[in-house]
Amino acid sequence: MSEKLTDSLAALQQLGAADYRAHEHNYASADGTQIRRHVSRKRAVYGTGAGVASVAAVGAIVFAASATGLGNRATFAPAATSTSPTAQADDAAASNATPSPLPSQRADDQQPLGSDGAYVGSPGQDAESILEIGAKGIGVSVEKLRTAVIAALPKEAGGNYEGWLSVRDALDLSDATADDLAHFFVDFTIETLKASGVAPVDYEETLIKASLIASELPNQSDYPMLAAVIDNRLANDMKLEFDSTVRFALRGEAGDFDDSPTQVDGRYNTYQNRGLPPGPVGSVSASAIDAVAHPAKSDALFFVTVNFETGETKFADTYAEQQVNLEEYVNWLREHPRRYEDYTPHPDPQ
Amino acid sequence: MTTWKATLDTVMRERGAALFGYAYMLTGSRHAADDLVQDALIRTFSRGKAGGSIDQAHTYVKRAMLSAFIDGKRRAAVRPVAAEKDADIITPDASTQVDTALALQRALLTLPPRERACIALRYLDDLTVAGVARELGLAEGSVKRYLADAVRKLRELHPELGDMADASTGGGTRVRVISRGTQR
Repeated sequence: MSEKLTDSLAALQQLGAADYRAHEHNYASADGTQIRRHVSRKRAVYGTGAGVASVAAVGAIVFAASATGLGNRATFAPAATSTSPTAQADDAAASNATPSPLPSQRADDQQPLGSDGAYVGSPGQDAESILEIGAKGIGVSVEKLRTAVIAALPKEAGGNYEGWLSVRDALDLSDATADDLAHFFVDFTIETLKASGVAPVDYEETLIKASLIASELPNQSDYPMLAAVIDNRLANDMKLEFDSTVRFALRGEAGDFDDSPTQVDGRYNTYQNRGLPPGPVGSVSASAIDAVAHPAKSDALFFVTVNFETGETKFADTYAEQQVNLEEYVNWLREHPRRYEDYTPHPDPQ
Repeated sequence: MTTWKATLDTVMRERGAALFGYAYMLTGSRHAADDLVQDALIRTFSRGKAGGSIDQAHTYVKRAMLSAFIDGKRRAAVRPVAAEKDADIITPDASTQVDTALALQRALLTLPPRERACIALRYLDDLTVAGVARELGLAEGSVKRYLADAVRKLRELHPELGDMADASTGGGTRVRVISRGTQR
């Protein structure tokens, strides 16, 4: 009488289903949000999406973590330890031999400036954060610094200061005015653009690309390769699919990145829009600008940071190669489960 | 690119009850069923293999539940058992069919997870032994053994089940909920 067993099993399943309905237990509502969030995160980590999508998440995670990792550390610090624009313009190439450490480690090498150890700005950070930090550093209101910055912008910027606030060797903030700091930020960007041989008409586009690079990658030695990736993807009419652009689209809003990186509305979201975002997504460094001006000669279309500790990033010409790299990355994550949490920019509230 | 989201939403909305019911049938506990479904959903949709139809996704989730159920039990065996286990069993309004089912549930819950999973696939999903073997990634011989052991234990407690001689020969007569041939 196997029907009896079958019927009973079916009855138990029915029982469960009825209970599920009776308790208004619904995976599509409250729990569903949780589930979706988990799935999104895992998809970002495991790279099941496609192409650069997952990859971009990696760089962004690294950067976001390094930026927060800096905490209340001092001074406006450039990513590189070199101090002159000329030296910085070359450091992308120079650092090829010895990859620079992650930004968070780099910051430890910086001499804190300002007596009370002001605050750190780092490449990739968005302008608003830098303004905030800077205003705090010199003791003026954010609005005052903002006005000063806009006044200091070249006409090529079109009034949008995002991307124009670069930070180099630290400024002694003790006697600085808002204007000093504004010029410190903006003039250095202009100097660097000039030093890298960028024509004024290309300023904005260069900064857009440089901001993407600075937001995505931990190691400056990889910058020229990523510059090539950006150019190649644009030339192939591929969407950039950089998570840094989604984060930027979400800035200051309660939006949940994990929930829907590709669904975030906004002209900046390069999952939705072809081509470059309409403006820079963060501050840049001299080496990022120089990388854009002098991209590597490469056909690479994909990249993934395979090791968060060293920041080692691998590039690939084909999606098949990329899959191999992604596997390496996933393996690294498996072996370093805690590191991934360290790098999670939006820790789960639970 | 985000079709997984639409699929996930639909599966949760339309198949949530069915999946929960299946998980409850396997685990005999609301909490465990809930965990099982949620983990399976996450697992399934995290790897991008649920891009197909809703039925396919349903199948994948079910399969993930079965393997998580078996693996989870193996791991849980070394952990302390939750005290509320019995209290978590659903107690519905009495009816003869439900009474029989509940009586059987106690017997079912004594079976180790692999045997329970085999019984579910064989008798609820009506798979043949070969089908069960494929779903669980086991050899057919093992499935036969699990089924035989399970049936023997069930009959000890419930002689009214009859001889159940079709354990290793029957199945495959009804429309299947788990589709065969879709490989990982």
